[in-house]
Amino acid sequence: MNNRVSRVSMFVTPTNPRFIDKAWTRGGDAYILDIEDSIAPAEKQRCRTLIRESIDKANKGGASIYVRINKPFVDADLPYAVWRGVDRIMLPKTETAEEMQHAHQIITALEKERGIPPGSIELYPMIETTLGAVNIHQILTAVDRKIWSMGGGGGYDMAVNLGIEMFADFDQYAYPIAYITLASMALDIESTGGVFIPNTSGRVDQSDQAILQAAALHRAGIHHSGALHPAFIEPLVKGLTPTTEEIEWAKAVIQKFDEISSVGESIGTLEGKIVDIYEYQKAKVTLDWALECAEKDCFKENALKRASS
Amino acid sequence: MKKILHHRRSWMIVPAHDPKLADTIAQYKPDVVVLDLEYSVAPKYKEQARANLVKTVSTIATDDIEIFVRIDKASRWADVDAAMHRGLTGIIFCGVDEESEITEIDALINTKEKERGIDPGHIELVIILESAKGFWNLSEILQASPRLSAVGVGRIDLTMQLGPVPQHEFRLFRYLMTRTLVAGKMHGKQLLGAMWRPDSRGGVANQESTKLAAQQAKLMGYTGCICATPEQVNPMNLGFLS
Repeated sequence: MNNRVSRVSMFVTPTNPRFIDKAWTRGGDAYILDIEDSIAPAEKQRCRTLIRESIDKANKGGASIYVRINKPFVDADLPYAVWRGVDRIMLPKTETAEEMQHAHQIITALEKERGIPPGSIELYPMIETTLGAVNIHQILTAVDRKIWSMGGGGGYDMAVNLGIEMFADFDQYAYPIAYITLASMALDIESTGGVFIPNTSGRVDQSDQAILQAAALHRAGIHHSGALHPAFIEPLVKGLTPTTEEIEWAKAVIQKFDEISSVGESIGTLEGKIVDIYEYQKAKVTLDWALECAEKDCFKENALKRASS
Repeated sequence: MKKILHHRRSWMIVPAHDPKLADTIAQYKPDVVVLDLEYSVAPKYKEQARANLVKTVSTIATDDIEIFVRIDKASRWADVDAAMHRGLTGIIFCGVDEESEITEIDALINTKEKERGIDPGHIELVIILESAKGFWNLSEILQASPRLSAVGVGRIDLTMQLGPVPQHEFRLFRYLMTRTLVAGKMHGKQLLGAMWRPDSRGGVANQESTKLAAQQAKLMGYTGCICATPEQVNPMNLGFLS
Protein backbone atom coordinates (compact mmCIF):
# COMPACT_ATOMS: atom_id res chain seq x y z
CA MET A 1 0.00 0.00 0.00
CA ASN A 2 1.18 3.52 -0.72
CA ASN A 3 2.13 5.59 2.31
CA ARG A 4 3.07 9.18 3.07
CA VAL A 5 6.81 8.81 2.69
CA SER A 6 7.92 11.79 0.63
CA ARG A 7 11.69 11.86 0.66
CA VAL A 8 11.50 13.92 -2.47
CA SER A 9 8.60 15.62 -4.18
CA MET A 10 9.14 17.16 -7.61
CA PHE A 11 7.16 19.72 -9.58
CA VAL A 12 5.82 18.69 -12.99
CA THR A 13 3.89 20.77 -15.50
CA PRO A 14 0.76 18.94 -16.70
CA THR A 15 0.74 21.06 -19.88
CA ASN A 16 4.10 19.78 -21.08
CA PRO A 17 3.86 16.18 -22.37
CA ARG A 18 7.65 15.84 -22.27
CA PHE A 19 7.55 16.20 -18.47
CA ILE A 20 4.22 14.72 -17.48
CA ASP A 21 4.49 11.60 -19.64
CA LYS A 22 7.94 10.69 -18.34
CA ALA A 23 7.70 11.72 -14.70
CA TRP A 24 6.73 8.23 -13.47
CA THR A 25 10.04 6.78 -14.70
CA ARG A 26 12.10 9.18 -12.58
CA GLY A 27 11.62 7.48 -9.21
CA GLY A 28 10.15 10.34 -7.18
CA ASP A 29 8.18 9.59 -4.00
CA ALA A 30 5.73 12.35 -4.92
CA TYR A 31 4.97 14.58 -7.89
CA ILE A 32 3.42 17.99 -7.63
CA LEU A 33 1.06 18.76 -10.51
CA ASP A 34 1.46 22.48 -10.82
CA ILE A 35 -1.18 24.99 -11.82
CA GLU A 36 0.77 27.87 -10.26
CA ASP A 37 4.12 29.44 -11.06
CA SER A 38 5.28 27.08 -13.80
CA ILE A 39 2.10 27.70 -15.83
CA ALA A 40 1.65 30.88 -17.85
CA PRO A 41 -1.64 32.79 -17.29
CA ALA A 42 -2.89 31.96 -20.79
CA GLU A 43 -2.30 28.23 -20.10
CA LYS A 44 -4.02 28.04 -16.69
CA GLN A 45 -7.40 26.89 -17.92
CA ARG A 46 -5.94 24.22 -20.21
CA CYS A 47 -3.75 23.08 -17.31
CA ARG A 48 -6.78 22.75 -15.00
CA THR A 49 -8.51 20.44 -17.46
CA LEU A 50 -5.41 18.23 -17.65
CA ILE A 51 -5.04 17.60 -13.90
CA ARG A 52 -7.38 14.63 -13.66
CA GLU A 53 -5.72 12.61 -16.43
CA SER A 54 -2.26 13.65 -15.20
CA ILE A 55 -2.82 11.89 -11.87
CA ASP A 56 -2.79 8.41 -13.42
CA LYS A 57 0.15 9.34 -15.64
CA ALA A 58 2.35 10.62 -12.83
CA ASN A 59 1.54 7.92 -10.26
CA LYS A 60 2.31 4.93 -12.48
CA GLY A 61 5.61 4.43 -10.63
CA GLY A 62 3.94 4.44 -7.21
CA ALA A 63 4.40 8.13 -6.43
CA SER A 64 1.98 10.17 -4.36
CA ILE A 65 0.30 13.07 -6.13
CA TYR A 66 0.03 16.63 -4.90
CA VAL A 67 -1.59 19.55 -6.71
CA ARG A 68 -0.39 23.12 -6.29
CA ILE A 69 -3.14 25.64 -6.95
CA ASN A 70 -3.09 29.43 -7.32
CA LYS A 71 -3.66 31.75 -4.40
CA PRO A 72 -5.86 34.18 -6.40
CA PHE A 73 -7.84 31.37 -8.08
CA VAL A 74 -8.67 28.98 -5.23
CA ASP A 75 -12.34 28.78 -6.21
CA ALA A 76 -11.57 28.20 -9.87
CA ASP A 77 -8.72 25.73 -9.33
CA LEU A 78 -10.07 23.41 -6.63
CA PRO A 79 -12.89 21.80 -8.70
CA TYR A 80 -10.17 20.72 -11.16
CA ALA A 81 -7.73 19.64 -8.42
CA VAL A 82 -9.71 17.56 -5.92
CA TRP A 83 -9.86 13.99 -7.23
CA ARG A 84 -9.40 10.50 -5.87
CA GLY A 85 -5.68 9.80 -6.14
CA VAL A 86 -4.66 13.29 -4.98
CA ASP A 87 -2.94 13.15 -1.60
CA ARG A 88 -2.34 16.81 -0.94
CA ILE A 89 -3.49 20.22 -2.09
CA MET A 90 -0.75 22.81 -1.81
CA LEU A 91 -1.94 26.31 -1.02
CA PRO A 92 0.78 28.79 -2.02
CA LYS A 93 1.60 31.97 -0.11
CA THR A 94 -0.80 31.12 2.70
CA GLU A 95 -1.00 34.02 5.13
CA THR A 96 -4.14 33.65 7.24
CA ALA A 97 -6.38 31.12 8.95
CA GLU A 98 -9.28 32.38 6.80
CA GLU A 99 -7.55 31.26 3.61
CA MET A 100 -7.17 27.78 5.10
CA GLN A 101 -10.84 27.70 6.15
CA HIS A 102 -12.01 28.82 2.73
CA ALA A 103 -10.02 26.13 0.88
CA HIS A 104 -11.02 23.52 3.46
CA GLN A 105 -14.73 24.18 2.92
CA ILE A 106 -14.45 23.79 -0.83
CA ILE A 107 -12.34 20.62 -0.56
CA THR A 108 -14.77 19.14 1.97
CA ALA A 109 -17.72 19.72 -0.39
CA LEU A 110 -15.81 18.25 -3.35
CA GLU A 111 -14.73 15.19 -1.33
CA LYS A 112 -18.36 14.50 -0.51
CA GLU A 113 -19.57 15.04 -4.04
CA ARG A 114 -16.85 12.86 -5.60
CA GLY A 115 -16.91 9.97 -3.14
CA ILE A 116 -13.52 10.70 -1.64
CA PRO A 117 -13.16 9.80 2.07
CA PRO A 118 -13.84 13.04 3.98
CA GLY A 119 -10.71 14.74 5.25
CA SER A 120 -8.40 12.35 3.41
CA ILE A 121 -6.83 15.02 1.23
CA GLU A 122 -4.21 16.98 3.08
CA LEU A 123 -4.32 20.77 2.84
CA TYR A 124 -0.76 21.98 2.89
CA PRO A 125 -0.16 25.68 3.54
CA MET A 126 2.96 26.94 1.81
CA ILE A 127 4.60 29.64 3.90
CA GLU A 128 6.34 31.98 1.49
CA THR A 129 5.80 35.41 3.01
CA THR A 130 6.56 37.17 6.27
CA LEU A 131 2.87 37.44 7.18
CA GLY A 132 2.43 33.70 6.68
CA ALA A 133 5.42 33.01 8.93
CA VAL A 134 4.13 35.28 11.69
CA ASN A 135 0.65 33.67 11.54
CA ILE A 136 1.92 30.09 11.35
CA HIS A 137 0.23 28.80 14.53
CA GLN A 138 -3.21 30.09 13.51
CA ILE A 139 -2.71 28.71 10.02
CA LEU A 140 -1.78 25.25 11.28
CA THR A 141 -4.74 25.12 13.65
CA ALA A 142 -7.31 26.75 11.37
CA VAL A 143 -9.07 23.66 10.06
CA ASP A 144 -10.11 20.22 11.19
CA ARG A 145 -7.99 18.48 8.58
CA LYS A 146 -4.78 16.64 9.33
CA ILE A 147 -1.54 18.33 8.35
CA TRP A 148 1.14 15.62 8.25
CA SER A 149 4.25 17.62 7.75
CA MET A 150 5.20 21.25 7.55
CA GLY A 151 8.13 23.21 6.20
CA GLY A 152 8.59 26.51 4.45
CA GLY A 153 9.84 29.91 5.44
CA GLY A 154 12.40 30.31 2.66
CA GLY A 155 12.45 30.22 -1.12
CA TYR A 156 12.03 32.64 -3.99
CA ASP A 157 8.82 34.29 -2.82
CA MET A 158 10.14 34.87 0.68
CA ALA A 159 13.27 36.45 -0.81
CA VAL A 160 11.09 38.80 -2.86
CA ASN A 161 8.90 39.59 0.14
CA LEU A 162 11.94 40.33 2.31
CA GLY A 163 13.70 42.21 -0.48
CA ILE A 164 16.81 40.03 -0.28
CA GLU A 165 18.90 37.80 -2.52
CA MET A 166 17.70 34.20 -2.90
CA PHE A 167 21.17 32.70 -3.30
CA ALA A 168 23.50 33.66 -0.49
CA ASP A 169 26.41 32.17 1.42
CA PHE A 170 24.70 32.63 4.80
CA ASP A 171 21.33 31.44 6.08
CA GLN A 172 19.12 34.44 5.42
CA TYR A 173 15.97 32.49 6.33
CA ALA A 174 17.16 31.18 9.71
CA TYR A 175 14.51 32.99 11.72
CA PRO A 176 11.32 32.30 9.70
CA ILE A 177 12.30 28.68 9.09
CA ALA A 178 13.03 28.09 12.78
CA TYR A 179 9.82 29.82 13.85
CA ILE A 180 7.70 27.70 11.50
CA THR A 181 9.55 24.55 12.54
CA LEU A 182 9.00 25.24 16.23
CA ALA A 183 5.28 25.87 15.68
CA SER A 184 4.85 22.61 13.76
CA MET A 185 6.81 20.61 16.31
CA ALA A 186 4.75 22.13 19.13
CA LEU A 187 1.62 20.92 17.29
CA ASP A 188 3.06 17.42 16.70
CA ILE A 189 3.33 18.01 12.96
CA GLU A 190 6.43 16.54 11.39
CA SER A 191 8.78 19.37 10.52
CA THR A 192 10.50 19.46 7.17
CA GLY A 193 12.13 22.87 7.49
CA GLY A 194 15.23 22.83 5.34
CA VAL A 195 18.82 22.87 6.42
CA PHE A 196 20.97 25.62 5.00
CA ILE A 197 23.54 24.57 2.40
CA PRO A 198 25.40 27.42 0.74
CA ASN A 199 24.46 27.71 -2.93
CA THR A 200 25.58 30.91 -4.57
CA SER A 201 25.49 29.54 -8.11
CA GLY A 202 21.74 29.80 -8.43
CA ARG A 203 21.65 26.43 -10.19
CA VAL A 204 19.15 23.83 -9.06
CA ASP A 205 20.06 20.97 -11.41
CA GLN A 206 23.39 19.73 -10.03
CA SER A 207 23.22 16.28 -8.50
CA ASP A 208 26.34 16.83 -6.36
CA GLN A 209 24.42 19.64 -4.66
CA ALA A 210 21.61 17.11 -4.12
CA ILE A 211 24.00 14.67 -2.43
CA LEU A 212 25.19 17.40 -0.05
CA GLN A 213 21.62 18.45 0.62
CA ALA A 214 20.48 14.88 1.31
CA ALA A 215 23.39 14.20 3.68
CA ALA A 216 22.74 17.41 5.61
CA LEU A 217 18.98 16.79 5.89
CA HIS A 218 19.54 13.19 6.94
CA ARG A 219 22.00 14.15 9.68
CA ALA A 220 19.60 16.81 10.92
CA GLY A 221 16.78 14.24 11.13
CA ILE A 222 14.62 15.63 8.32
CA HIS A 223 12.77 13.14 6.14
CA HIS A 224 11.53 15.27 3.28
CA SER A 225 12.80 17.47 0.52
CA GLY A 226 11.66 19.11 -2.67
CA ALA A 227 13.21 19.09 -6.11
CA LEU A 228 12.96 21.20 -9.24
CA HIS A 229 15.04 18.90 -11.43
CA PRO A 230 14.97 15.09 -11.92
CA ALA A 231 18.72 14.89 -11.24
CA PHE A 232 17.90 15.57 -7.57
CA ILE A 233 15.52 12.63 -7.15
CA GLU A 234 17.80 9.63 -6.84
CA PRO A 235 20.38 11.22 -4.48
CA LEU A 236 17.59 12.48 -2.21
CA VAL A 237 15.63 9.22 -2.10
CA LYS A 238 18.81 7.32 -1.33
CA GLY A 239 20.29 9.90 1.04
CA LEU A 240 17.18 10.23 3.22
CA THR A 241 16.74 6.47 3.67
CA PRO A 242 18.44 4.93 6.74
CA THR A 243 21.53 2.90 5.84
CA THR A 244 22.02 -0.75 6.84
CA GLU A 245 24.60 0.36 9.42
CA GLU A 246 22.16 2.85 10.95
CA ILE A 247 19.48 0.18 11.17
CA GLU A 248 21.86 -2.33 12.80
CA TRP A 249 23.03 0.29 15.31
CA ALA A 250 19.43 1.22 16.16
CA LYS A 251 18.61 -2.45 16.81
CA ALA A 252 21.67 -2.82 19.04
CA VAL A 253 20.71 0.32 21.02
CA ILE A 254 17.18 -0.98 21.55
CA GLN A 255 18.45 -4.35 22.69
CA LYS A 256 20.92 -2.73 25.09
CA PHE A 257 18.31 -0.39 26.53
CA ASP A 258 15.90 -3.29 27.06
CA GLU A 259 18.66 -5.10 28.96
CA ILE A 260 19.45 -2.20 31.27
CA SER A 261 15.77 -1.36 31.81
CA SER A 262 14.98 -4.95 32.79
CA VAL A 263 17.28 -4.62 35.81
CA GLY A 264 15.91 -1.21 36.86
CA GLU A 265 18.86 0.79 35.54
CA SER A 266 18.50 3.69 33.10
CA ILE A 267 21.93 4.43 31.65
CA GLY A 268 24.38 2.05 29.99
CA THR A 269 27.05 2.11 27.33
CA LEU A 270 27.48 0.40 23.98
CA GLU A 271 30.83 0.56 22.18
CA GLY A 272 31.78 3.53 24.33
CA LYS A 273 28.57 5.45 23.61
CA ILE A 274 25.82 6.27 26.08
CA VAL A 275 22.59 4.31 25.80
CA ASP A 276 19.67 5.90 27.61
CA ILE A 277 16.01 6.75 27.07
CA TYR A 278 16.92 9.41 24.49
CA GLU A 279 19.14 7.15 22.41
CA TYR A 280 16.44 4.48 22.67
CA GLN A 281 13.78 6.86 21.35
CA LYS A 282 16.05 7.99 18.55
CA ALA A 283 16.70 4.37 17.59
CA LYS A 284 12.96 3.72 17.45
CA VAL A 285 12.50 6.68 15.10
CA THR A 286 15.23 5.28 12.84
CA LEU A 287 13.59 1.85 12.72
CA ASP A 288 10.09 3.24 12.14
CA TRP A 289 11.36 5.47 9.36
CA ALA A 290 13.35 2.62 7.78
CA LEU A 291 10.21 0.50 7.77
CA GLU A 292 8.12 3.22 6.15
CA CYS A 293 10.80 3.79 3.50
CA ALA A 294 10.94 0.06 2.77
CA GLU A 295 7.16 -0.05 2.44
CA LYS A 296 7.21 2.88 0.02
CA ASP A 297 10.08 1.40 -2.01
CA CYS A 298 8.24 -1.90 -2.28
CA PHE A 299 5.06 -0.15 -3.44
CA LYS A 300 7.01 1.85 -6.03
CA GLU A 301 8.84 -1.22 -7.28
CA ASN A 302 5.62 -3.19 -7.80
CA ALA A 303 3.89 -0.26 -9.49
CA LEU A 304 6.86 0.21 -11.79
CA LYS A 305 6.84 -3.48 -12.74
CA ARG A 306 3.14 -3.36 -13.61
CA ALA A 307 3.54 -0.14 -15.60
CA SER A 308 6.55 -1.42 -17.54
CA SER A 309 5.06 -4.78 -18.51
CA MET B 1 20.71 34.95 55.56
CA LYS B 2 22.86 33.33 52.93
CA LYS B 3 26.07 34.97 51.94
CA ILE B 4 26.24 34.72 48.16
CA LEU B 5 29.78 35.25 46.95
CA HIS B 6 29.22 34.43 43.31
CA HIS B 7 26.71 34.15 40.54
CA ARG B 8 25.07 30.81 40.13
CA ARG B 9 27.27 29.65 37.27
CA SER B 10 27.66 25.90 37.80
CA TRP B 11 24.64 23.84 38.80
CA MET B 12 26.10 20.41 39.58
CA ILE B 13 23.84 17.40 39.34
CA VAL B 14 24.36 14.72 42.00
CA PRO B 15 22.06 11.70 42.18
CA ALA B 16 20.08 12.07 45.42
CA HIS B 17 20.74 8.42 46.34
CA ASP B 18 24.51 8.68 45.92
CA PRO B 19 26.10 7.77 49.29
CA LYS B 20 29.21 9.80 48.41
CA LEU B 21 27.44 12.99 47.40
CA ALA B 22 28.88 15.03 50.28
CA ASP B 23 32.41 14.15 49.14
CA THR B 24 31.61 15.04 45.53
CA ILE B 25 30.27 18.43 46.61
CA ALA B 26 33.31 19.09 48.80
CA GLN B 27 35.66 18.12 45.99
CA TYR B 28 34.11 20.05 43.09
CA LYS B 29 32.62 23.07 44.94
CA PRO B 30 29.86 24.00 42.48
CA ASP B 31 28.01 27.29 42.86
CA VAL B 32 24.76 25.36 43.20
CA VAL B 33 24.15 21.75 44.22
CA VAL B 34 21.32 20.00 42.39
CA LEU B 35 20.15 16.88 44.19
CA ASP B 36 18.67 14.82 41.41
CA LEU B 37 15.52 12.73 41.41
CA GLU B 38 15.42 12.59 37.62
CA TYR B 39 17.67 11.35 34.82
CA SER B 40 20.62 10.25 36.97
CA VAL B 41 18.42 8.18 39.29
CA ALA B 42 17.43 4.83 37.82
CA PRO B 43 13.91 3.60 38.68
CA LYS B 44 15.13 1.15 41.28
CA TYR B 45 16.79 3.92 43.33
CA LYS B 46 13.94 6.46 43.19
CA GLU B 47 12.38 5.58 46.56
CA GLN B 48 15.70 5.66 48.31
CA ALA B 49 16.65 8.94 46.63
CA ARG B 50 13.43 10.60 47.83
CA ALA B 51 13.84 9.20 51.33
CA ASN B 52 17.42 10.55 51.58
CA LEU B 53 16.39 14.14 50.90
CA VAL B 54 15.19 15.07 54.41
CA LYS B 55 18.58 14.41 55.88
CA THR B 56 20.68 15.47 52.89
CA VAL B 57 19.03 18.86 52.41
CA SER B 58 19.53 19.87 56.03
CA THR B 59 23.09 18.59 56.37
CA ILE B 60 24.49 19.83 53.05
CA ALA B 61 23.00 23.32 53.05
CA THR B 62 25.49 25.75 54.55
CA ASP B 63 26.05 29.46 54.28
CA ASP B 64 27.74 29.13 50.93
CA ILE B 65 26.09 26.12 49.38
CA GLU B 66 22.70 26.49 47.81
CA ILE B 67 20.63 23.35 47.38
CA PHE B 68 18.10 22.73 44.63
CA VAL B 69 16.24 19.49 43.93
CA ARG B 70 15.57 18.45 40.34
CA ILE B 71 12.21 16.71 40.21
CA ASP B 72 11.08 14.15 37.67
CA LYS B 73 8.13 15.41 35.62
CA ALA B 74 6.45 12.01 35.72
CA SER B 75 6.49 11.90 39.54
CA ARG B 76 6.62 15.63 40.27
CA TRP B 77 4.05 15.65 43.08
CA ALA B 78 5.78 12.98 45.15
CA ASP B 79 9.15 14.52 44.35
CA VAL B 80 8.17 18.02 45.54
CA ASP B 81 6.76 16.47 48.69
CA ALA B 82 10.04 14.65 49.31
CA ALA B 83 12.19 17.71 48.58
CA MET B 84 10.50 20.45 50.60
CA HIS B 85 12.56 20.80 53.77
CA ARG B 86 14.25 23.71 55.51
CA GLY B 87 17.58 24.36 53.86
CA LEU B 88 16.23 23.95 50.33
CA THR B 89 16.61 26.94 48.02
CA GLY B 90 14.53 25.75 45.11
CA ILE B 91 13.03 23.16 42.81
CA ILE B 92 14.17 22.48 39.26
CA PHE B 93 11.41 21.37 36.90
CA CYS B 94 12.56 20.02 33.51
CA GLY B 95 10.40 19.49 30.46
CA VAL B 96 7.66 22.03 31.23
CA ASP B 97 5.17 22.21 28.35
CA GLU B 98 2.59 24.70 29.52
CA GLU B 99 1.59 27.33 32.03
CA SER B 100 -0.87 25.13 33.94
CA GLU B 101 1.92 22.79 34.99
CA ILE B 102 3.64 25.73 36.70
CA THR B 103 0.49 27.00 38.40
CA GLU B 104 -0.11 23.54 39.78
CA ILE B 105 3.45 23.05 41.11
CA ASP B 106 3.41 26.57 42.56
CA ALA B 107 0.27 25.74 44.54
CA LEU B 108 1.81 22.52 45.80
CA ILE B 109 4.95 24.38 46.92
CA ASN B 110 2.73 26.93 48.71
CA THR B 111 1.03 24.18 50.68
CA LYS B 112 4.28 22.47 51.59
CA GLU B 113 5.90 25.74 52.71
CA LYS B 114 3.04 26.20 55.17
CA GLU B 115 3.14 22.61 56.40
CA ARG B 116 6.90 22.55 56.92
CA GLY B 117 7.47 25.98 58.45
CA ILE B 118 9.33 27.44 55.46
CA ASP B 119 8.93 31.18 54.84
CA PRO B 120 6.16 31.74 52.31
CA GLY B 121 7.57 32.38 48.86
CA HIS B 122 11.07 31.30 49.90
CA ILE B 123 11.35 28.30 47.59
CA GLU B 124 12.43 29.25 44.08
CA LEU B 125 11.33 27.49 40.93
CA VAL B 126 13.74 26.98 38.05
CA ILE B 127 12.45 25.61 34.78
CA ILE B 128 14.41 23.87 32.08
CA LEU B 129 12.83 23.69 28.62
CA GLU B 130 13.21 20.52 26.62
CA SER B 131 10.21 20.38 24.30
CA ALA B 132 8.81 22.28 21.33
CA LYS B 133 5.59 22.93 23.28
CA GLY B 134 7.57 24.44 26.14
CA PHE B 135 9.52 26.75 23.86
CA TRP B 136 6.38 27.76 22.00
CA ASN B 137 4.55 28.61 25.26
CA LEU B 138 7.59 30.20 26.88
CA SER B 139 6.27 33.67 27.60
CA GLU B 140 3.08 32.40 29.31
CA ILE B 141 5.08 29.85 31.29
CA LEU B 142 7.48 32.49 32.59
CA GLN B 143 4.61 34.57 33.96
CA ALA B 144 2.89 31.69 35.72
CA SER B 145 4.62 31.97 39.12
CA PRO B 146 6.44 34.71 41.05
CA ARG B 147 8.79 32.02 42.39
CA LEU B 148 10.23 31.43 38.98
CA SER B 149 13.79 32.73 39.12
CA ALA B 150 15.62 31.10 36.21
CA VAL B 151 14.90 29.50 32.86
CA GLY B 152 17.18 27.11 31.07
CA VAL B 153 17.63 25.47 27.69
CA GLY B 154 17.87 21.75 28.39
CA ARG B 155 18.50 18.56 26.50
CA ILE B 156 16.74 19.73 23.37
CA ASP B 157 19.15 18.01 21.01
CA LEU B 158 18.14 14.74 22.65
CA THR B 159 14.46 15.22 23.45
CA MET B 160 13.58 17.03 20.21
CA GLN B 161 16.00 14.90 18.20
CA LEU B 162 17.72 17.85 16.62
CA GLY B 163 20.57 16.55 14.54
CA PRO B 164 23.63 18.54 13.48
CA VAL B 165 23.49 21.00 10.59
CA PRO B 166 26.41 21.95 8.32
CA GLN B 167 26.94 25.16 10.32
CA HIS B 168 28.31 22.91 13.07
CA GLU B 169 25.38 23.49 15.38
CA PHE B 170 22.35 21.49 16.38
CA ARG B 171 19.37 22.24 14.19
CA LEU B 172 17.27 25.08 15.72
CA PHE B 173 19.66 25.37 18.67
CA ARG B 174 20.67 29.00 18.12
CA TYR B 175 17.07 30.05 17.53
CA LEU B 176 15.82 28.35 20.70
CA MET B 177 18.69 29.84 22.74
CA THR B 178 17.79 33.28 21.36
CA ARG B 179 14.07 32.85 21.87
CA THR B 180 14.69 31.85 25.49
CA LEU B 181 17.09 34.76 25.98
CA VAL B 182 14.56 37.32 24.76
CA ALA B 183 11.67 35.97 26.83
CA GLY B 184 13.87 35.35 29.88
CA LYS B 185 15.34 38.86 29.84
CA MET B 186 11.92 40.37 29.27
CA HIS B 187 10.65 38.74 32.45
CA GLY B 188 13.85 39.28 34.45
CA LYS B 189 14.95 35.65 34.87
CA GLN B 190 18.42 34.19 35.09
CA LEU B 191 19.32 32.34 31.88
CA LEU B 192 20.81 28.88 32.07
CA GLY B 193 22.32 27.04 29.14
CA ALA B 194 25.43 26.55 27.07
CA MET B 195 26.09 26.72 23.35
CA TRP B 196 26.64 22.95 22.96
CA ARG B 197 28.02 21.67 19.67
CA PRO B 198 27.09 18.39 18.00
CA ASP B 199 30.44 16.83 18.86
CA SER B 200 29.96 17.50 22.55
CA ARG B 201 26.73 15.79 23.53
CA GLY B 202 25.74 17.72 26.65
CA GLY B 203 26.08 15.04 29.29
CA VAL B 204 29.42 13.73 28.13
CA ALA B 205 31.12 16.86 26.84
CA ASN B 206 34.79 17.15 27.74
CA GLN B 207 36.22 20.00 29.77
CA GLU B 208 37.44 22.01 26.81
CA SER B 209 34.19 21.89 24.84
CA THR B 210 32.23 22.59 28.03
CA LYS B 211 34.24 25.74 28.69
CA LEU B 212 33.80 26.88 25.09
CA ALA B 213 30.05 26.20 25.23
CA ALA B 214 29.85 28.28 28.42
CA GLN B 215 31.93 31.14 27.02
CA GLN B 216 29.76 31.38 23.93
CA ALA B 217 26.57 31.25 25.98
CA LYS B 218 27.93 34.01 28.22
CA LEU B 219 28.44 36.20 25.15
CA MET B 220 24.76 35.69 24.34
CA GLY B 221 23.56 36.68 27.82
CA TYR B 222 23.45 33.36 29.65
CA THR B 223 25.03 33.27 33.11
CA GLY B 224 25.03 29.64 34.20
CA CYS B 225 24.33 26.05 33.22
CA ILE B 226 23.46 22.63 34.54
CA CYS B 227 26.56 20.40 34.90
CA ALA B 228 25.56 16.84 34.06
CA THR B 229 28.86 15.58 35.48
CA PRO B 230 31.04 17.01 38.29
CA GLU B 231 33.92 17.41 35.83
CA GLN B 232 31.94 20.14 34.10
CA VAL B 233 31.85 22.37 37.19
CA ASN B 234 35.28 23.90 36.75
CA PRO B 235 35.02 24.64 32.99
CA MET B 236 31.52 26.09 33.55
CA ASN B 237 32.81 28.35 36.32
CA LEU B 238 35.65 29.52 34.10
CA GLY B 239 33.49 29.92 31.01
CA PHE B 240 30.86 31.99 32.83
CA LEU B 241 33.38 33.98 34.89
CA SER B 242 32.56 37.63 34.77
